[in-house]
Amino acid sequence: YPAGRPDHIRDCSLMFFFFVFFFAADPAVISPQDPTLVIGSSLTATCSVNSDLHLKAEDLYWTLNGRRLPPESYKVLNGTTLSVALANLNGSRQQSGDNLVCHSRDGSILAGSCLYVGLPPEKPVNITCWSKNMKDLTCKWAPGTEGETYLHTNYTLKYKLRWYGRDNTCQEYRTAGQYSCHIPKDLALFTPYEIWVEASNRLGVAVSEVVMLDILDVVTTDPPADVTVSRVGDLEDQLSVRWSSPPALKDFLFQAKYQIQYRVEDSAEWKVVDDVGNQTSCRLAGLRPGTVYFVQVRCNPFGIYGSKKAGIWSDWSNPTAASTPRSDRVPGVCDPKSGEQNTTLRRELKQFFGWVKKHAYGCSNLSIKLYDQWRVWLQKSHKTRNQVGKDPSPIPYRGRRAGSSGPSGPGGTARTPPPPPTHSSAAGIGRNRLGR
Amino acid sequence: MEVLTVDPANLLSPAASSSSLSQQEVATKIKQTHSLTVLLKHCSEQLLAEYVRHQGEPFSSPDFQPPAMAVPGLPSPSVPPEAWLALSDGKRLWHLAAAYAALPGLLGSVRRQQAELNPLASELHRQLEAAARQCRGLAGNLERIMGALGVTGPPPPSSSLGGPTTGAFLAKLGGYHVCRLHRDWAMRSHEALGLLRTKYPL
Repeated sequence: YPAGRPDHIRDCSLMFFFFVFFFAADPAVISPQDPTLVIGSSLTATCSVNSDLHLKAEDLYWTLNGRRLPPESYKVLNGTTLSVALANLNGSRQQSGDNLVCHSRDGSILAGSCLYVGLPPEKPVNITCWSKNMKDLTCKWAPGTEGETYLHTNYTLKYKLRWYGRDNTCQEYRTAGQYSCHIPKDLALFTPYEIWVEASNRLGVAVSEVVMLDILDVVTTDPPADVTVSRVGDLEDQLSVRWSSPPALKDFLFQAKYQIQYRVEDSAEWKVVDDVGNQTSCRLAGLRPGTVYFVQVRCNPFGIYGSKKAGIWSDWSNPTAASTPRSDRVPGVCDPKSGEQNTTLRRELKQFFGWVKKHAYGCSNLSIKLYDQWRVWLQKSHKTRNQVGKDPSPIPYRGRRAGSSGPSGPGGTARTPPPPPTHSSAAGIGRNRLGR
Repeated sequence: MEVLTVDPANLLSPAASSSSLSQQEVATKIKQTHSLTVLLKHCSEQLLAEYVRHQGEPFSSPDFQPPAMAVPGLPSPSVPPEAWLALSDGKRLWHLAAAYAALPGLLGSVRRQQAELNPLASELHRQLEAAARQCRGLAGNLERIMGALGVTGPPPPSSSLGGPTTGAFLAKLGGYHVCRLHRDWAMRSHEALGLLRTKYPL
């Protein structure tokens, strides 16, 4: 391909430009351009067409946000200028401004101007601040107006040390919601700051009240770490909660106090334990057996550097779940109930199995434990008949023979205990029982 | 229609291009670039819809008829389809390269204007930035393909993108034209790369 641009490519680029109109001058001009107005005010605007277009003022019409304005509000000022009178303007429909457009009779757009109609801002209110681990400061506030100002409002958070002159401006906005700002560093302790928020829009500025605070008074921490919840032995109404204090404040002299909240899995209601003090463990009592609980812990770093004031509560830790043991515990899953062990029948069976082991080849895995296991299964299947779906799956028997023998007739499978498991699975069951 | 024959000797000679790609690599690059144009087609439609939404009526009405406006450095691809298809691959690539050299800067200007006009429209700003990025990507891909095929590229766009500050309405209108041209060129590039793909199959 030759290096220079061949003629036919140049022709093609001309062909492209042929289809694009070039306006040497604007077809019309609207005045005023981009005015800012208070809600309810009136405005008269003019549209002057370029004489080259050979359009008359009578050939023009106006639209506002796409809606045609009534001809009664028009006035022909001269051969090429048409005015329109707008009264009692509503707040701007979009923040980029209402589109006031001058059209020629065939609908084409000749010129436009954007109207900004709204209200001046109100003083921002409810400034609250907190410091995470004494390293930074985050503040949030609320806009003064209940409703809209219709104009985009800019917020600036400013702060300065109380007795030194220099104003500082916060830079990182929207870190904790739309009306918030984060000051990451260079903050002094033990000395008060003045903090305020300025709101400004096209119609004016409003400044909030000044808030005065010492960083040490608004300290919060990370939530407690390593929250674990575990059962207390077999106790069916208790759970034990443990955690460690947040690492960031390890170096500062402070006393933490903690709070725990917990709820059952399918409830939205949290119960709060308030008097935890500064321990890092707590036992929850009076709980429902066999229930899953969600637990959270939070921390308040009070008494920082010896001050008596409380800090700000941290966020709650991520929920940790645990369940209380069931009250209708099946005996024999862990240990057989003491009552069972002393029956005559059982004693006799124990002796029998001992004899079998010695004298029958291939039955070396038979033991009294098997009898206990069978009793466990019996109890469970008995319950299953009454509470469908609640029990865990029965102990897996492998090699169960279909059509098992039993005294009852057809349809009585629930009452018929299965035959003892075959030799191969006995060891598995023994393992299940002991491995718990 | 002129057919570009790819001469392997040309591909390997340093005079033809800055990079030498095998037949397989060219075909792969074309396929990849075609996929990029599919993405661009989709995103440019979304961008135009998002843009007009924030400018208000009459921009957002379906029968909006804007006055034609010259966008500096970016011709409108409103060539009749037959004429476009009648061009050679090389010429089509040349026009695409010229358009995508200019689009990133233009989209950047629109983003800056919209930062003033619609400061809270974060999704619009994100899409404008993404569009500029995608156009730069496509420009780079086109350069590689043209280099491999021995097609000379267009001169870089003139840097005079910023004019005197316009009123808000003209800014809205200018941005509209850029977004629409972006979409039109995305459709054209998709067509062109589709044609190239059939000629240089994998």
